[in-house]
Amino acid sequence: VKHVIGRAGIVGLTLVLASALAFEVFSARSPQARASTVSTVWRMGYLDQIDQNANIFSASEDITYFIFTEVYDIPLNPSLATTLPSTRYSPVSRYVLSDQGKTITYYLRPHLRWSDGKPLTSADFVWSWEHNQYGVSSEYTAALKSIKALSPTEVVVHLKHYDARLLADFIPILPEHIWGKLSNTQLLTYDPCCPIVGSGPFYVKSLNPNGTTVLLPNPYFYGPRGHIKEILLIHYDDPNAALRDLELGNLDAVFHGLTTWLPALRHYPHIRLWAGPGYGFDEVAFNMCPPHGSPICTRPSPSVHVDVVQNLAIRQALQWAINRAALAKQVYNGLAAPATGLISNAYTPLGYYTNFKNDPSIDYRYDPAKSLEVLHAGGWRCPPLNSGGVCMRHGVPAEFTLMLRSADLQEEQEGLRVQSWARAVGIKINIEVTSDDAIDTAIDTYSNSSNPKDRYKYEPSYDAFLWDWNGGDPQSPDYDMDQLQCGSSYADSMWCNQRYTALTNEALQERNFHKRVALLHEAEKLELYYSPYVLTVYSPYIFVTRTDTWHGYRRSPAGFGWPFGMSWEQLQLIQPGRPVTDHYLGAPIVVLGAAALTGLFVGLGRLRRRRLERMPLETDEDAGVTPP
Amino acid sequence: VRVVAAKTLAAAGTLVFVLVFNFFLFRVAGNPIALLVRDNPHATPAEIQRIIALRGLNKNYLTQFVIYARQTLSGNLGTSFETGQPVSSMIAAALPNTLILVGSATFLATIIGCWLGVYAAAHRSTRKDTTVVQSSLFFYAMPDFWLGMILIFLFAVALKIFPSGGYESIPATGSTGSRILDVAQHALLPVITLTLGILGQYVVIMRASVAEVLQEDFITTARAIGLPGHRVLNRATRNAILPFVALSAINFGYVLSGAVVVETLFSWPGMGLLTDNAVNNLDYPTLQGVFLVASAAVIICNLVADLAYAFLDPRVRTK
Repeated sequence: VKHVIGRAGIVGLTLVLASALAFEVFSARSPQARASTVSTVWRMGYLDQIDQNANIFSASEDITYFIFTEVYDIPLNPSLATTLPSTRYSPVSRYVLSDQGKTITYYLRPHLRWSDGKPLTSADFVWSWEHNQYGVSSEYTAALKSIKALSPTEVVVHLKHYDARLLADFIPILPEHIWGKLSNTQLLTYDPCCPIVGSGPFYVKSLNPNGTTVLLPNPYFYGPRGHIKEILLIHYDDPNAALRDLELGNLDAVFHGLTTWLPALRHYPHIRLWAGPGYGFDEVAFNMCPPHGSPICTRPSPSVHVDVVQNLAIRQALQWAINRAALAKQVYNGLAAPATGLISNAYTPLGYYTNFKNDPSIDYRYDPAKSLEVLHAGGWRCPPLNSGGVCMRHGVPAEFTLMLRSADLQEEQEGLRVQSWARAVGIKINIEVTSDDAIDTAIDTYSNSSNPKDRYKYEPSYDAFLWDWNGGDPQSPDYDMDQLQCGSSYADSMWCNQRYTALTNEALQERNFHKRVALLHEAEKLELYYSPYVLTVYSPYIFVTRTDTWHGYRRSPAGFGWPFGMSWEQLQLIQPGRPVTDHYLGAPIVVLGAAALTGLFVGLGRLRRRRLERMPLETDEDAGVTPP
Repeated sequence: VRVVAAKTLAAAGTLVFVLVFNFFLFRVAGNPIALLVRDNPHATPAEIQRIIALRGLNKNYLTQFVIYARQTLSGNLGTSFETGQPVSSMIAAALPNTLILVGSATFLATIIGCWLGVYAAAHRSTRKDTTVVQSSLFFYAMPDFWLGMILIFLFAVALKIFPSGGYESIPATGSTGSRILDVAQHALLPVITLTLGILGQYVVIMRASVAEVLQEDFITTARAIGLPGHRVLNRATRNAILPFVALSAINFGYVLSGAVVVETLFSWPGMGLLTDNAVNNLDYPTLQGVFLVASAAVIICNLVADLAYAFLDPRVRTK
């Protein structure tokens, strides 16, 4: 080629090619930007991973449930304003509770269709509820006795007992014509993608847990049409990368961001951070496995500081020693709320929450003097406040180890502050920052007992750990309460109080709302008194949205809750704005720069070669280097 | 033939060792059962036990190992605990992306590193030599994430001339040509980050190797007979290439394991990101699959390097 067209020709050709490439890149603008003056695509970044192929029977991640919210309907979808079950936009148009709440009759809307066009009938409903027991939400239908389709639009459900959660639980109606072909075991491992067929406003067109997942509008949707023509869910491993893309206009929203983003986002007028309430809490959990064992554990491991962590005065003293308001402000940028009981303030609109501020025995406000008083009353001999000394009782120092998760920097910060406040009142906490897995292992260490009855019981080896619990449902705090019941497999503190268990069970079956709330609060007070968990804050869920590309987000519950992810209705209501174009000049610059450099090197190379041909290579002797 | 057979056998032995080691390494790292329990607060204990059994985690280690070995040898890398997808398909999806990113960076670093190394050796003990070596070592010493963040800040945030991350524009549509360019545009910053990060070792190795060869008698002879400088340098380079080939081969082996930090920083959906996600979720099957593929790549590339040695240097063949 060189001989035919010469060096100048090569350089010229390179420049022409470079210009052509540059033009191609210039013209390769975002199709969204070219095609429309308003946004049609809603792009959301997320940090978890879509799990289990978005199989409703086995998935558990929040982002996967976001997809389920858009794709599937439950019989009674949550009301936008209250999150309570509503017939407004639901497959069920009417329902009747009878037989003391033990029988529910549901009436489906007529002519419902799945996103693939097949009819949705009561048979789908019956199949879905009957088979829920084979999935990871099996607890939801634990009260189910029988379910029967009376007609294509009528379903009757018989319960063993009334269950206050059942109407609101996320037990979606699934297409039997797809799932019904599978055996009960296959339900857990089946790959429903793609498309993932549902009756909600969207269906999943393609799924990529490590990349971008695409949702398209359901053409047979019975509800109101929204403005979104395509939802793109983009996975990020690095939270900062998601935030950066949001700032640059490559995303419209981020699901479950970080509270630490707040200061940085103050400089961006087009970005809004929403702190949605958390339905769980952060807590310091103590090893409460009794020395004689309980339904879930045989005994605490010998390494546990039982005399300290199982001493009521120590735990109650810690309750008074912690400055929860400061934690919420300093660690969570004021986006969290101080925790006052097992029932989060997220349940305020539903009437469940109370902060017990009128109860002097369990209103654990920050009061180090009171903390010291509690320790003295408990038989601990303590040095004066802030002296740096450690309380003693029967020769045992008030000292234990608190495990913190290295993966959660905010929990680490919480733990360090708790350590400092505890030290001020004479309780020495040794911090052990470790992996989630190490904490799990410390909790779930199986007992060495030779008794066959103890086969699946634990012998927990931790003193205390700090982490969060997000098991709560927006419609009911029961799942937060359940985990402290005797024998619950999630009772990570191993605490067992029969009265507490009875109260929470009774509350679950109580139809009178006020009585139910009273029962839950009584159980809550018991937990506050015995303090197997020392609650710190109700940490929020963070949502971040751009306000220019899409706007009109509506919180659910109204004025308080999440801007999306609670109900499919939320995304149907948002309005399009101006799309932000992604148009980069980098490639043309690089291509042209590379072409210029090529020309330069060709020229310089030629010059250099001519020079080298004229003069011999410099030897070591010439350069003044003595050979070895 | 005997040399090839011996080396292939040794490589196969190493691979078997990796296969065994791979299994036990991740079992030591953590317990996915506890994670399974905590991640599914609405599952009954019976359902949790069913999932544990379904994943084979209720069996003892020996039985699990036998199943793992049988599956792996039959080409089945299992199913991810987290995504529920076959590990082989997850690797198949991530591998091309990693090849684009880490492969390009390794290729560029090899070419540029070789050229700069020769250049520095030809100008040894001069300011040019110092500049080349020091600047390449400067980038080599700089952590990848730091260098990447600087590039992102400069070119994506401040100048806005490159995308800050991702594999392609979202939504990704358009002609094939424009999509290829789009991917190239997204790859550029991470490729530069990786290239600058690994360039130093190539420069240093090549420089040292060429400088050593330039002391040899045959170079003096070449100069004495009046060969032009660039031809002498060409001969020196050819004779100095062996250590460089070994380094390149090993580094090409590492290509398949991805670059965890850079891929995470730039949200590049390759093997590195896959590994990071799998570690976070204690996803044994994915971790085993990724490490097996990466280890196999390193072993095979080492084997190729060994054989290339024999091809390039007759003395090795004789030995």
